[in-house]
Amino acid sequence: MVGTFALAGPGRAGLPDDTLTGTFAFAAPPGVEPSRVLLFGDASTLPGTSRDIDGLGYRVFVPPYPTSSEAFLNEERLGDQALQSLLEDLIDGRSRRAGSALADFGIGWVAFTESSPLEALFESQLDLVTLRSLDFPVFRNEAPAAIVRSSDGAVWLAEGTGYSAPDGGSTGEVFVAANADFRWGPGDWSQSDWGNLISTTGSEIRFSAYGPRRLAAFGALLWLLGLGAAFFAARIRWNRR
Amino acid sequence: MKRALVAALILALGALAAALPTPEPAAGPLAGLLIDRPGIDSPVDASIWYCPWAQANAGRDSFFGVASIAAADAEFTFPVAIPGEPPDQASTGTLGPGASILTLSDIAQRGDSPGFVEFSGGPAAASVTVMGEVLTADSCVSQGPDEWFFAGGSTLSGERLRLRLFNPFPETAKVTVTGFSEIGVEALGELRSVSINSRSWRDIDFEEMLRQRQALVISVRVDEGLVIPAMSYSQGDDEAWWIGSGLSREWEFPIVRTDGLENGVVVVGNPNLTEVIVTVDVYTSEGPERSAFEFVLAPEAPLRIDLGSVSGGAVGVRISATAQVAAGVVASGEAGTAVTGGASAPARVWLLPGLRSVGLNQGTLWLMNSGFEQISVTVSVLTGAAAVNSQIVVEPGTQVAVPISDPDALGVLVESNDPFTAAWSVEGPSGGAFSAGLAVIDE
Repeated sequence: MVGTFALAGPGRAGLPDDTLTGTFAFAAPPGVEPSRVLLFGDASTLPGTSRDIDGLGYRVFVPPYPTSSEAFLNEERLGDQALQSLLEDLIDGRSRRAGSALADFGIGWVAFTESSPLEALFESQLDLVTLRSLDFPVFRNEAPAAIVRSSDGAVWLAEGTGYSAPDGGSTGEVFVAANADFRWGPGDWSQSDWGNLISTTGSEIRFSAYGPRRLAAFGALLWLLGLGAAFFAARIRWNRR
Repeated sequence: MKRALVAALILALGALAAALPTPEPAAGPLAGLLIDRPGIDSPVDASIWYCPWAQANAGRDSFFGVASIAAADAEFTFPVAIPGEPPDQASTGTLGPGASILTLSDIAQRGDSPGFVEFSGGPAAASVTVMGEVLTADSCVSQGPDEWFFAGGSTLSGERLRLRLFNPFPETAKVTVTGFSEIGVEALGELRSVSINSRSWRDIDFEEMLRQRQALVISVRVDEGLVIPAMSYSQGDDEAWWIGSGLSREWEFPIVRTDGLENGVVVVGNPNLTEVIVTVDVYTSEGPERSAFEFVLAPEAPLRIDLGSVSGGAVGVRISATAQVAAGVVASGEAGTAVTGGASAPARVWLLPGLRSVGLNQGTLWLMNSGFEQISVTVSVLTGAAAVNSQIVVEPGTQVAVPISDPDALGVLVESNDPFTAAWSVEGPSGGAFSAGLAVIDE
């Protein structure tokens, strides 16, 4: 009890201070589908879990702020490895068009929670623009970046765990800049390098649930309800007597 | 007894803990990783070449020569110096090995159009030849020093010297321009921290600022951002553009003068605070004259070495100095005016994009073997299709001219098992030009 109250006392249940609300509002202007932010910094200053490159933490999130569902990063998969590889190439000085390469990952912004020598690498790119008006280092990607884009260039809009075509509709295959996974659909799914290519005639794509896990979750819920019913039913009967 | 043992054990453990050394602090981010601020360098197999002097208007047009050892696509970008205006873009491709030409007026015709070329493969290289009212050419640049030097300019009556600062990057850049001439270090306080807007360029004229200088050495140091400088020198009706270089103890110039550009001068600049001894070896088709000249060069002073006393026609030279110096060649004559930089070291493979003969303009390849052994050089004339190969023997200490007569030639690749240097010249009715070759360095 004492421990619980000690944590709850400051009002954040032991969670770190909120430092990001509003910080990245500039990256998600109203009426525009936001692209991702690549955020570098010490792991303790980054929201949720993070990956690291030579000891410097980094993670990707969708602005204006990372949601609870984004807190824990998945195990490293193809897309994550491709991004890590791109960052290593940058450090090795093998890129002058980092913006274009990052746009493939749906990354439209690069930011740092604190000053870092890595900033120099981004400052010398042909397609990344430094934003001087902010009080932390931010670079805007000049290459158009979208998390989901159809082959006609239309940017799809986030909707729950899926994406929908913009009002004007769109045609052709849809590229989803996420780790390759056959559960993207509906439509014919194919792997495109590390990402997903979906041939769909509809105006919506989503990430389908994993059947066995969904059943297991429902089973656990039923079991909990059953336990509760058994526990309370006995007491209700006892009280009535 | 038992309590005493426990107490002793606790005390012993405490003493052991106190004796342990303080652990090393946790490694900070990027510990041990050296991240230098990148210059303009780019990978050999995906190189970017910056060409600050391209221009196309009613009287002139520019031809971008690209050549590659591996099949590659070349993407051209020409920034428009109006904020928010998208750049003009174009592309071409080469075989491996192969060459190609892009005409600027097909893409943009708005006078000055500095641009850059991005290759998808390589090693590759690019050059720009301006034709029309004048004839000028030089290699573009894909890497450069922190401080660029231009040796070879002058501002005597009727001459014009203009520095172009090209910033193709999205960040505003700042540079400091300094210089020295035969009268000493020049006062160029107004050229301290000169700002160049992003994706734009800025020209600085010296003929008013530094009047009547015979030998000027201008340096450009980048303070912020990245800038690619180039220099233009006009004399009479012709104009010469050349790209800057760093410092070196040795410079090789396979061509200093030709029959049409018969007044060849080598300009050496000593930016050091101590005297430097400069030795000049002269190479002609007849053979070498090693240590033909030797000079003591004062601190922060230029030296003009007139090769008029050397008999014969075409001449190549090798400069060696006791400290790092800047160097360039200036040639003038009835064909026009030519200026170019040298090679800081011989190499086994050279690319010479844009070397061709077109119309009345005659292109010539120049090979120089400053060594003491005969070498055999494979000359591959690069076209849009297959390369045409020939073998040239270059005797030790000689310079060889190879006129390019193949009408399909768009560039040249030269290779040998032994190091040598290569450059090219072009002469025509509207002027003449020298261009340094581009050494292909093994990675």
